[in-house]
Amino acid sequence: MKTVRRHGRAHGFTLVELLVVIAIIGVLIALLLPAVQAAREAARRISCSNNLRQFGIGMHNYLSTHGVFPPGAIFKNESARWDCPRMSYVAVLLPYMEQQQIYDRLDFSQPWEYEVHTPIRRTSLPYIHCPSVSQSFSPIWYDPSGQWLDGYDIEYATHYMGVSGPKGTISGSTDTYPVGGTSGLGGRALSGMMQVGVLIREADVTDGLSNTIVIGELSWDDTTYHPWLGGFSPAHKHTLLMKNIVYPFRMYAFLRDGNDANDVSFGSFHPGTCPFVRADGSVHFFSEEIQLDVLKALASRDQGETVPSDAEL
Amino acid sequence: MTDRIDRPAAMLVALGILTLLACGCGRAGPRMATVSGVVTLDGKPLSQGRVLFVAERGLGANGEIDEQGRFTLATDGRIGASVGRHRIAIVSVRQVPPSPGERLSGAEWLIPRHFGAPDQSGLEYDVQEDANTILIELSTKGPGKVLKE
Repeated sequence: MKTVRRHGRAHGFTLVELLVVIAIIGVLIALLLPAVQAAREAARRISCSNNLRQFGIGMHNYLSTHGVFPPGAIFKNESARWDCPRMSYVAVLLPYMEQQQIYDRLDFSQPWEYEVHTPIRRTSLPYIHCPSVSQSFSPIWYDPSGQWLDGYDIEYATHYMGVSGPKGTISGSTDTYPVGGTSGLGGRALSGMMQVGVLIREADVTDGLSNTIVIGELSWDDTTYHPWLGGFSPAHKHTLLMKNIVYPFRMYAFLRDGNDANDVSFGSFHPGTCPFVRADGSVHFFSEEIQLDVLKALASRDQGETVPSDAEL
Repeated sequence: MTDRIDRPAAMLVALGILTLLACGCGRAGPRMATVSGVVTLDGKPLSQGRVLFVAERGLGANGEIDEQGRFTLATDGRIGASVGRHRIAIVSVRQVPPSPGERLSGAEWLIPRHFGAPDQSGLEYDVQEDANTILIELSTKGPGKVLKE
């Protein structure tokens, strides 16, 4: 009976054949989709790496102009606490990264959170956002009186933050890394590249320019994002766009209650890695499985720790 | 007759290949073990804060302290901590009103300040392969202790 039916409908598909074809197509799509997603992430990774490379080039333009590395923030005078502009390293580098027109609009006699800088905080820059991150705004904004308020979608944040340096015990010794202003929020590490009030020449980076990280991605915790123009909070305690290295990647988050907000971990959305630009201007994606001691050694500029070569990182 | 047997057989073979392919997925991470316990300050359970386990290599583990002082660690969204030695930090702070313009201006710590830094807390624990239940005793006067139950 079956053979008779098949001879009668030689050009039709049976249900089983159809199901097999659908199953095969389904399998092919299931195999391809992750590959497409991975290819897109790889492209975003390259784009992110390019952003950091721009910072590296800007940093070296600054270095060849001034003979020192860019400071972590603009400090006019440490004692003039409320007057000083306290702007971030991103503001410092503007003229060296083809953003002279924005730099010209900054008023260095007034702090970054004042009304005169409101339009600048609401301006984005082409290299301050990692393409793997969906939120490019800060969770807070500043009203005309300079008071912060809750609200996304108003002022632009950056996903790249400076490295103040490591904190804690130096590997293989009983000494601790130098830290300043430990009264609250974790203080500020003093042995890294992003400093204020210290001029760092190439010769001062005794650990080697290739063994010292300067700027890295900190995008995993969007509560710690901050408008890109701000370098320091008014009381100089909160290092808004510079962080200490104390904890492994993606571990220590910002808490509203006021934990050590200067110690918030670096970390990105690139699977298993976090990119940093080094003092020689090169960009490297460091594995999240890195030893904490090695990460701290990379964060300091002059403590003389040994750092494994790239192949071992 | 042959049609009826071969097609399901072919599908079975396809399914088998798929299963084999799927076996290749997933990255082998570090060995993990569950860690949970209680944090006390001078014998009384701590009612808020966070326990941080800092590994020597790789991501660290985090656990929220509930009102009875209990916590369970998680690493990158998965329950557990990597097996091996960890330095421990405890963060337990209460918000204080910041000065004008400041988002934060320090906080009131509910425990001695040094417990908040992994290098200064003096607290360490070696996470074992099996389930770990621990008691972390903090003191306002002396050093803290980590006891395995």
